[in-house]
Amino acid sequence: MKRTLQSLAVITAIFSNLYADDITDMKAQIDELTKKIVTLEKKQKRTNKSLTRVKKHDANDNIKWSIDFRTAFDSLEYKLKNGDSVSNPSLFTNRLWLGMGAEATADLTFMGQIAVYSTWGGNNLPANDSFQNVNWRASSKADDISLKLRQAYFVYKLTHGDFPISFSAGRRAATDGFLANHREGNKKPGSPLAHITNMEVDGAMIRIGNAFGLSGSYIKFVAGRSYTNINQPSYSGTPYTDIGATDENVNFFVVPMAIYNDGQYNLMAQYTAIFDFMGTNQDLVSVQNPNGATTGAGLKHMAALSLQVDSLNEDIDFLDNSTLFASVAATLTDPKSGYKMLGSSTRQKGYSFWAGYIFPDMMSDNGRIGLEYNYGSKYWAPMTWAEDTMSSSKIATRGSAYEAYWNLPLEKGHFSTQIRYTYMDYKYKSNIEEFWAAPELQDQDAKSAQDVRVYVRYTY
Amino acid sequence: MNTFKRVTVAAILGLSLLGTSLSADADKGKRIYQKKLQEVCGFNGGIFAAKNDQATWEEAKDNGELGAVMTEACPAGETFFNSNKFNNKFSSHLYDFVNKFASDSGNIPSC
Repeated sequence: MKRTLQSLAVITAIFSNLYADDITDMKAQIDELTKKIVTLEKKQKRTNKSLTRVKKHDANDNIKWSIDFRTAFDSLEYKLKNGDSVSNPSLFTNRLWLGMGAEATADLTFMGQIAVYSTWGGNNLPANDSFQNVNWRASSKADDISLKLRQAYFVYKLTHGDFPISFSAGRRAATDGFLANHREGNKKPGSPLAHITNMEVDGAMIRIGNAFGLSGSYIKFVAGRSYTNINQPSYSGTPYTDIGATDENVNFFVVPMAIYNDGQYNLMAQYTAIFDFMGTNQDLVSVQNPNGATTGAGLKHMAALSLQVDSLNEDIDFLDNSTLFASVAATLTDPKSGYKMLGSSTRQKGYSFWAGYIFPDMMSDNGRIGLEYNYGSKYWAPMTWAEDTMSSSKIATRGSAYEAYWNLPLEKGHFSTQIRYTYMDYKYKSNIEEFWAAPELQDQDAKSAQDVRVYVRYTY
Repeated sequence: MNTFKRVTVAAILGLSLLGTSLSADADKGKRIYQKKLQEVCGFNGGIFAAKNDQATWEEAKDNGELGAVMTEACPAGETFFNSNKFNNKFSSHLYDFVNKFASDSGNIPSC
């Protein structure tokens, strides 16, 4: 037994001697790892403290903000029917859109925009322009530095599945819509179709996805009010009522739809009905209202069908990055007995065609050049009363309009610039100029208009 | 105006002969998904992008495994993700798109 124990002691001593270095190394590594764990635990505690501070700080910051700030230079020139020429060779403006987004749940979101659109040097716009700050274009026409509400609406997804339905209500900037986004340097179009609608609107909407069973299809039903006839002030005995006035509320019903969208071909359509629209009534002519203009004159219908094709040929780079679009539209005014719309007591139809081609500029990353043409007939009367061009609505031209622009994104798209030239050749009065009147040009009306615009724009 | 039209057409044809140098674009990536993958995968691009967070998509791109990770997200698209066109032409745009709408991007989709 004694000899066995002695043998074991010798063997242990031999092995200890043999592996002494390895054991020492392992001990050192374990000590080092232990130190690292202690350090990591301390860092973890500090990180948790920082996260708690961040969470407390941002707990009620529910809005995600975005910025779209544009400074523009426009040079405007008009040739009148009587041969005179008027111009504003240098008009500078600032436009700020502060975007707001909040996603309370996966099915409930809020989107909003506050806007300022001002001319450099303050407000010297006509004081007698009663339409300067009207609801449908308050943030779309250059004015002073006051803040305006451009958009504020929620979207609530009611159902999911094969035909998802969502409900929305509030105020929408129905501007820079489908096809107009290219000439505005916007990657994404607004809603609805720009060929017949460019207005700021208040209303409610139901959207049904996959409405036609075709790729990307949906249909929206929108009802709203563009004019409310209140003539009693809030301090009267009957606030917010309309007593003794002859005008009516102007309500609208719009059905925009995406018929097919597979990422290359995007076909959209829209029908709009406007009830108690603006016109004239001889019985209402007065010193204050020399034209007898009033709402409640009749019904107005509008319809458009627009197609955009992206990536014309994916095997040829130039065509792969080109976009082609074409659109046709029509309007119909239907005055009530005793009223006139567009200076006529009978129904009048108007038509328009609009086409464009946007292609790479071959000089820069993502720079693109656009060429557009649109034509409008004598009684063509879209609702493009928010500003699509400084020199009056290009889309509403009754005659021909030609346009070329170069959009140049810089700094990963957060800074961009545009040069744009627009020429409008009027055969008849533009729809947004005395929109209740007969279309024939008078001596003081513009026969042609041109606008050279340059802007720089920051978006983030 | 006829001279203007002739010059315009000639300029467009001339430019079309030059090669383009377009950088990656999330909107183009979205259109590529709609055209090439939406029907195959059976769900929209938002759902596809949200299959991973930004770090996962970025790591896949950096490791040259974007096609493989996208195949995990949409197995039915494997043929497309292994194609030359995906590798040489579409991958950068699709990456920009999925990175923009990844599960932790915080981007709120417009409606």
